[in-house]
Amino acid sequence: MDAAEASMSAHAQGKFWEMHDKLFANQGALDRPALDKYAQEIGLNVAKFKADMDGHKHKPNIQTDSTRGSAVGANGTPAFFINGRVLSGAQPFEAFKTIIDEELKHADELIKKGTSMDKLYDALLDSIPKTAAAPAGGGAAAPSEHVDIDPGISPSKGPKNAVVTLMEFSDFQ
Amino acid sequence: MFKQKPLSFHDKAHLASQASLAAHEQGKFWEYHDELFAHQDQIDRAGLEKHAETLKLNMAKFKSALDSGKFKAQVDAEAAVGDKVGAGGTPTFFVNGNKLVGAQPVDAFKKLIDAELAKKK
Repeated sequence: MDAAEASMSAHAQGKFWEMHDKLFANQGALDRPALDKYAQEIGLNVAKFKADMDGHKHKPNIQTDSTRGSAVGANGTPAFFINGRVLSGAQPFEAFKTIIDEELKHADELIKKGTSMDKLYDALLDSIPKTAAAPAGGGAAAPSEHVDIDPGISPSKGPKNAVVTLMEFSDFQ
Repeated sequence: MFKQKPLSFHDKAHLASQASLAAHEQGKFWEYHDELFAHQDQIDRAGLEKHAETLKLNMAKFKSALDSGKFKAQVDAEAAVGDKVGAGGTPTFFVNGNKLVGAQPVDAFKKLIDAELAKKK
């Protein structure tokens, strides 16, 4: 929460992305002294920054954002929405490209049919296929797919005949 | 259970995956997993060897596994399964086959696990 507040305090001084990149590069050090140090390094007015942090000036905004995220199924991070279509987790470039190309094609079709530019985004959102839409209120409760995966010889903990098996696909970077 | 899914844009992830399986071969997968997770900025070849030393792995065996690409095929095979079941990004979790994508809060896991437990009763 401190880090989110720091990013919005930087945003208030026009330097959100500079702070974003600092935080991303220093994920191991996000305590308050570190945040103050980053504020100084990116050239913020540190007195103003500290006053924002001490007064939790941006906390309500962040809580609103976070609540909104939960409502549209963005319970994990990172969660992306491309014209309202959800893309969850760290995804390869191709995953973005596929959705963006589909949306570009779709937008071209709508324009050809006579949709005006100022109505285009609403029209695109209206036509999200139900299967690709973000689950309303908590994606975890309604998993979109069920798959059967061979456990093989992969590293595991707990008994082999466990009632619930949690399988993780991940990497170390 | 851990399946390897090194992402193409994570340039060091494939070798790190192989290293974790080299540690698995010596019975220390989770110890190695935790070392890598705690030092995600040190996963070049030198870092991978340093973490193996910290865990007192047999270094000759560890290095030879990396040099020969002994676990490369296994990493590729697991990543291919990941693609097939829709685990395109990391981390992706499956609770008894039910998909959960991204870094999720504990409540998201709890819901799925409780639902699965309830089914078994």
